Amino acid sequence: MLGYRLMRLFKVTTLFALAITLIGTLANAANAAPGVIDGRDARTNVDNLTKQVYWFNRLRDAEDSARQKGKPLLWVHMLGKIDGAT
Amino acid sequence: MSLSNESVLSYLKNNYVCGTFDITGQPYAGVSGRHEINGNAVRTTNGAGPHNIQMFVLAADGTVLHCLPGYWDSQDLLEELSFAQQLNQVWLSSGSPEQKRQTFSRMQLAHIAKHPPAMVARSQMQGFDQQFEARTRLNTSDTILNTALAAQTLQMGGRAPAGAFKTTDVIMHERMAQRPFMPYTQFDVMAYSDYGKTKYDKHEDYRNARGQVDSSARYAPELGTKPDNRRSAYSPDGRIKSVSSYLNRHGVKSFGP
Repeated sequence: MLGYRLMRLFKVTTLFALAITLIGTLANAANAAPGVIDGRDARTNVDNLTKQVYWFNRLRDAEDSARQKGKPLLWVHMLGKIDGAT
Repeated sequence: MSLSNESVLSYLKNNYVCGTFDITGQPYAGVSGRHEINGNAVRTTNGAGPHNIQMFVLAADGTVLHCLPGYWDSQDLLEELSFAQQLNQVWLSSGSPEQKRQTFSRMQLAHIAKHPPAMVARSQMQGFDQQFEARTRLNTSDTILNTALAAQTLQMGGRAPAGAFKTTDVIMHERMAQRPFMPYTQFDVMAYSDYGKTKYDKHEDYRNARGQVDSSARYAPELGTKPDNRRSAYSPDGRIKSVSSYLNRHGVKSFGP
């Protein structure tokens, strides 16, 4: 009997926690301003960008690599760092 | 950021070597609000913020094949990266340098007609940049199609009518056509990326749920190259020329009994 009650309490607690998480997620989505990408998503995007592609920061090294691979070079001028504040 | 789009990432991995250069302090760099790595981001129009981002495509020997000023939508960026590869083939082909330069300019201008309507729609210049162009160089700007129409942006609440300004995709290709196969070290970044205001900031981290910018955004930290306006407030002997402007800058709006 006690085991059954504990199990039921556990289920209710779990459901409650899930509901709180879901409400929090929806609230966050609702808080995102139109056209604005939430900071956590933006961070994930930056992580993908820097993990999947190697970014040189010396032009000569990048040109050497481009020559070796027979590829053109995308050389991005930006205010700040690609893996930091911009 | 359009570079992190899955299609763009895949394309870059397969076809390009990549690098970045922090232009903070460069004479051609503009000003932007500082965005931490965990800060919000925003999608905007093609060519927005040309002073703060320039995406160069270089041949392996440092020859400039293409340059996209400002932000570009991922679909349009892919299109232009693919186009730059065609230019790379021209650069690597046999033929006289003069022939190659002519081909380059012809291809740049011809590419304008290949832009789909959706890309053109994404390439409308920002309203504040249009106003800046009309206010500061109405008769000389290569971004203006019709001077009389562009002048309407200077009226109170004025919006640019259709046909007043070129779209940024056109400005980009026209300017590139004038710079055929230039060495990167000689590329005039300042002139090439010069349209609109030097400061570009959407205040992504200062928007409420309705997208409105909070007033505290005006005190937000900034990145970039800002002309030192304070120097003009002082006379050559170091004395303050204008007391009222000095007080205003230091937050004193009025004083006295």
